[in-house]
Amino acid sequence: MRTSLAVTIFVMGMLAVTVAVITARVYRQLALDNQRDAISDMIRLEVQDALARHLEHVRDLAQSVQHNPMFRAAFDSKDAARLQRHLDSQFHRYFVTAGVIRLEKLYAYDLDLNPLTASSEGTTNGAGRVICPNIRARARARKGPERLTTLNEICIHENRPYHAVLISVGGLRPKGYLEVVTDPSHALMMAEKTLGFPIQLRLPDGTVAYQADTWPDALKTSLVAEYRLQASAGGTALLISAARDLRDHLAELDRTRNLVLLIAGVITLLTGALAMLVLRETTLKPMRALQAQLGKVHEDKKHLGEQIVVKGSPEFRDLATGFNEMTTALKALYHDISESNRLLASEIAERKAIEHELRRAHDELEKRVEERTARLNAANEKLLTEIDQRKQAELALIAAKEEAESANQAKSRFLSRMSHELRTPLNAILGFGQLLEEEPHGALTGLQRGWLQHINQSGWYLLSLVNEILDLARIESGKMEIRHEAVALAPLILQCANVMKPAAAERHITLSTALAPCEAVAVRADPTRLKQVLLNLLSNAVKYNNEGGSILLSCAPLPSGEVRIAVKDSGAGIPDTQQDQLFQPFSRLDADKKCIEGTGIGLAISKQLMELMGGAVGVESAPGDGSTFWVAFPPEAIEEGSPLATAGAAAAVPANQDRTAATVLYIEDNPSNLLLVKNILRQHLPQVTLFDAHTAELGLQLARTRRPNIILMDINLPGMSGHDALAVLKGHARTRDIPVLAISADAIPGDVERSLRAGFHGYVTKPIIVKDLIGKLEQALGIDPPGVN
Amino acid sequence: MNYPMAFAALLFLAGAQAAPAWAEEDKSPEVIPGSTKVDAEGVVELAATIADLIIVDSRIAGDRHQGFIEGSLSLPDEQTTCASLAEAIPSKQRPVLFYCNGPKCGRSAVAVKIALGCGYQRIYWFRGGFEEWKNRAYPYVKQ
Repeated sequence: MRTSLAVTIFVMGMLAVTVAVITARVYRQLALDNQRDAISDMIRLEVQDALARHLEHVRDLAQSVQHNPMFRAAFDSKDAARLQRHLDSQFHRYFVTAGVIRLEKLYAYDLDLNPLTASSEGTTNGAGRVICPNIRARARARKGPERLTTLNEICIHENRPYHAVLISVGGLRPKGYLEVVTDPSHALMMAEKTLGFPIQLRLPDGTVAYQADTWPDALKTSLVAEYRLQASAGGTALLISAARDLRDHLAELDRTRNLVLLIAGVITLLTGALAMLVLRETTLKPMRALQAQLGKVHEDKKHLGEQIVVKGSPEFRDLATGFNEMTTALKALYHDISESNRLLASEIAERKAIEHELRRAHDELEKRVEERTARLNAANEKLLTEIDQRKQAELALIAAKEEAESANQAKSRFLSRMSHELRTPLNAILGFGQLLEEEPHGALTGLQRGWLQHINQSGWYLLSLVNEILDLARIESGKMEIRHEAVALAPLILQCANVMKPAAAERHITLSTALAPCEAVAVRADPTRLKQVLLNLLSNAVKYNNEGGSILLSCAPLPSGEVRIAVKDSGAGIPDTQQDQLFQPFSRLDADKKCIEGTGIGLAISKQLMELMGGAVGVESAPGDGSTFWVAFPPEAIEEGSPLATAGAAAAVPANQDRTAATVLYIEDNPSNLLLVKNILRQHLPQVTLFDAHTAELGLQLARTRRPNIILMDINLPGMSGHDALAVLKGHARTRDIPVLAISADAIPGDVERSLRAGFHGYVTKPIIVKDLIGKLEQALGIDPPGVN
Repeated sequence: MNYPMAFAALLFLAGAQAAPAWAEEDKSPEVIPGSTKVDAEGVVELAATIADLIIVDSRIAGDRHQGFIEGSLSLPDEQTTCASLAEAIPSKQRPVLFYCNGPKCGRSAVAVKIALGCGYQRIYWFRGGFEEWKNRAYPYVKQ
């Protein structure tokens, strides 16, 4: 700070000095110029004064000249020579008038400025060449009172200056003029004295007219000023130079300048010192104090808040005050911050701990997640494998299903085929057996008839067994088709009763019915199967009854809404323990009692059938009390007032009243069946001509050519099936209207329906029941049937 | 205090004071009825036209020594009376011209008035005076 200040002051001092020096120089120059100008002015004034005085003198001289009586006389005489002589004498006289006037020439003119004469003395000898002709011209140009004006002029003639004065001669009434020509430099020489300093007079051509003795020396040390005396017509007549010794003056200036410089220097130093002092007190000291305090604070924060003394210049006072306030505030702030810091630090520590915990937890979590993920992955894997497996299983299942289906289908085909295979021989057996039975009495011996009875009975029994087994098989494999139609209970039950009557009568069992409560009741059931069930129950009731016992067949709606058909027998009764097994297949009561026939699957079948129809079977029995076997239909199976279902609806019969010579075409591949039917027809319908075909194609041909009245067709034909053949028949115009009866071992009601719908006129099941076949044929032929079933 | 106004008032007062002085500077009146005022040229013309013009110099000897119009008579105004005038000027009909130093002089005016009083008929007054004569650089003599 001090250095800079010192430097500043030094620089300022230097500047001041420089300025002073320059100013001094400039002033000196100005002074010199001023002096020059002043001197020039002085010269001018002096010259003008001198010339004025000179003019006065010349005028006086001129007056003196013209007032000389001799001049007057000479002038008036107009004698030029005389006048000249006078002029010459005056010339001599006044030539050097006390050194003041230096005459050069005298001229005289008349009033019209015609030269009269001139002095022979003077500059131009002779009046020929005239000095300063201009003045004359001027004078000539004047008129009136103007002519009295005295003219004067400075002119240059032959590089010399001349002063001419033209004065009128004769007072108020001029007679002529007198011109006095003088040397002006002479007049000006006098100026030297008045001026007080040496002068030099130069002529127009540069020659020195006059110069002071001291002039050469003066030149060396003095200031030279000039003044040009102009001629009236222009041009410098005389160059007047004056030399003024200014050494003293300049010396004075220099002394002044030096003094000024000295003073400036001294003042600068003093100012500097003073400034330093002031600076020290007002700025440096307070600043150092501030610095010191700042240093202390910087070193150790505990110095925060310490106040410094407020002194120095107002700015520093403010600064100091500000510093004090700031340091106090900082102390407080620092304190607060320290506090906050402490709190923060502790909080941070806390948080770090928490963070650590979190991290740990996080790591653990990650581990667990990993484990879980691994487990999940494993589970996934397992699942995938399981899915695969399941897919495989599914595929397997599908395969199995398909297999099962195919197995099912195989089973169906098997069953069908079995049915067919079993029934076909049975058909032969029973058919021929029936035929034999119908032989007239004498054809067979009693013994043979007895054997025939056994054959037939066994055949029928075998048929019933086969039927039962097939039924069971069908039920078991779910192939049992149950129709659901409205069945009027009372008539159906009665039908069954009628069927059983013969068997019951054989064992002397009375069969009674109590069907009134079910008079108008109809249920949704399969009539065929219901019949089967009821027949089964009835047959059991007969079989397991005592000789001479009774059977009560009843039907009634129950309070619960069910409808119950009961078969009560007066048999031995069944203990509770054995009741459970009743409806299981192949369980027969008293199996050891070999006299009772049966496979033991009838009840099982009945149960299954009832359940398929939505109903139930049951037994109530106590040993010695007989048994009551019942079947029940749930309330929802009951249909009120539904029309009676009749099995085996017959389609419209084409009118063929021609009883004679009817032809029947039998399409059958089995020879024994064929033989049977042939015989049956021979026996019962002799008027009918039977012709046969053992393949469908042949049959079709025959049908087309022979146009039989009826076609009997075995459905199960090799090659083209019966259904296809039917379709063909229906397709031909010739054969369309021929009724076709189907013969088949398939006793499935569904087949019957299907066949009838397909267009078969009727359906005959194998083994053939003769009456059935005949009845249907008669009906188809249009013959009135003897009795309907 | 309104300084400019005060200053102006002061100046005015000074001027007012001076005015009479200036008025007194030009002692002689512009015209003197009964006389004919002429300037320097007029004097020359008069001299040229009037042969018997008498020119009277009303100045005191001291001033006259400085120079005077050639042919003029010296008759200081203090000594100007009808008697002295009668001595100088033969007849009252004689044209007479009075002059002194100049307008500030006043002597010639006095003389003119006296002459008028004396009954001179043809009075010319060269008010401009010797001052004007010299200014025109007209010739003059000293003795």
